[in-house]
Amino acid sequence: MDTRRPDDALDHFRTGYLKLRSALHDRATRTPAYPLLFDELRAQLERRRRIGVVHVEPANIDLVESLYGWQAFDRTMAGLAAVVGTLRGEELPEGALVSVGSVPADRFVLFVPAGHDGEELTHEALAALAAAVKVRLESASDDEPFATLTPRLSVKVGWSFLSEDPFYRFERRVHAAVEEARSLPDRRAQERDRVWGAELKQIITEARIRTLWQPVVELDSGSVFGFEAFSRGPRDSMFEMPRAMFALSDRVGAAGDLDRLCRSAALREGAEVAARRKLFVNVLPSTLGGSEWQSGAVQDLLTSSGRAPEDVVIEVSERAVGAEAESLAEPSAMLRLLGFGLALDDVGTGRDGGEALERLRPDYLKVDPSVVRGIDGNLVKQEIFATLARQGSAIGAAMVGVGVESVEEAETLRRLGARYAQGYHFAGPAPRERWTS
Amino acid sequence: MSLGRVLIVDDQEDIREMARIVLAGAGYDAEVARSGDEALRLLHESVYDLVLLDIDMPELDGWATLRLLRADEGDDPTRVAMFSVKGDVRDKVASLKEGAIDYITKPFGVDELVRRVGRILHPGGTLGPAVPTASPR
Repeated sequence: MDTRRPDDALDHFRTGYLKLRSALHDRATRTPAYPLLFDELRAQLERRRRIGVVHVEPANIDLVESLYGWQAFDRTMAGLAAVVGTLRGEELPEGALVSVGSVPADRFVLFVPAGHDGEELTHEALAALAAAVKVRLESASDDEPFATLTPRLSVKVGWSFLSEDPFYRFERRVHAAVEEARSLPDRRAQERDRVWGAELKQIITEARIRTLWQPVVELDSGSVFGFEAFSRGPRDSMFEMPRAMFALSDRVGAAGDLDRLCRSAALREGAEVAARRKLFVNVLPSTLGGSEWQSGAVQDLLTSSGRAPEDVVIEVSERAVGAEAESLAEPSAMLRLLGFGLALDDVGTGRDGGEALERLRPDYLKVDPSVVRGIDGNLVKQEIFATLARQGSAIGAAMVGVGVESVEEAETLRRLGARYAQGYHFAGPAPRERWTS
Repeated sequence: MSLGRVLIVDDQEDIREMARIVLAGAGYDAEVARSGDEALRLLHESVYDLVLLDIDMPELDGWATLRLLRADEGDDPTRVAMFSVKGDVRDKVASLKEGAIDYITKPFGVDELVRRVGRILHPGGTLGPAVPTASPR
């Protein structure tokens, strides 16, 4: 016997409605998924040939969730939705429709039926509009509620056009246009990597790398303790920015080659620059255990230039070491046996938790500029540095402050236990002629 | 004067009725729903201070009910405590994650039910010590 009351059917129906709505309407952003806009879009396309589609995707929001939890993800999306809501009438024309890509929302889909002038959009106009949206969203990520997020939120924005074609089912046309807009940034990036990657490989083949040198200063005496080698691509090319060059080399599979080239250039020049001083040379964690170091090739190079392993400090980035820390314990112990010094770079940027420190047992801890900058007036940074210094002294490592820009920063670092420092306060990176003459 | 309005959601009549009588006797305004469907309607129609929501119900279970309730309400979420015969940790963690503020294992004693509800609705009051409550979001 059915014990339901007549009202039960109604309640059941209401629940069904709630289920459908919760599948299509995002709660955190209070925004519908774009399939709810199909009718509106269809109506718009009766009046014009095509509609602009702008796809907005926070690029590193997964990281937000893994670091801060799903509530933070939802709050971030809600914050972005609030900003997206203010785009209309500014970056976006009044008639633009705002939706999310799916529920729960992790990206936005904006439909732009016409330009600011009410006329049909051109490719150039839509591209410009998408670029403006990106600028606005990324500048908003400095405000609440994103200000506390590390890393800074970056936004991928792509665009495409939606048009009607009686041969295809309309809904599928919309999905395809959304996918096309979504994949545009990645397709552009791949194309750029292909072109720039070829250029980078050419640079590596022709060894067109310059080495700049920055002094590492002993804080007590003010004397130059050593020099760190920085590699730069050719002047007036995008490869002049080392971060871009090394990131690209990684994406196009040339990281090992570039690393080797930079290193040998640094070691060759180093003899000239830094007689009786330490050479700090950056190395990728992946090449640390490589045969070049272990087989004696590097020692040969040093001997031929009149230097010994004791003169060389190998620097690896704590960020780059990451999960590889354990596998690097043995090669780094071996290198230390051979006489090389070991420095851990980018210390204090966060996510390592001392794993690299423990495994690599470096002789120097180079504390990141983000901790050093303004440390004289920032008690939290002072506490971070002091904690790092305690860890350093526990393993017998000397502290090096990187990115020192004022005498106050230098003095505070010295007081907190830093032995060495480098930065523009002392001298920026410069070609070897500057230091040899 | 009522100590608060409580909605008890359970498909089992004996538990539902016992909870209602106990809470009414303790001074609460206690109402019942026999299913998630009915609870969602009642919650849409009026405001409750606390919902006691059974996890194991046929058709719409407690989790689905809670999710749909969250989808249906605004910025001021209703306080929900889950209850279940299972006492496993995973369920407890899940209930906090879904935005429930307590987890009561069945069968519960009369005193315990009154105490738990009192701690949620009157933290720091004479009805019991404050419980740490998870943020409802």
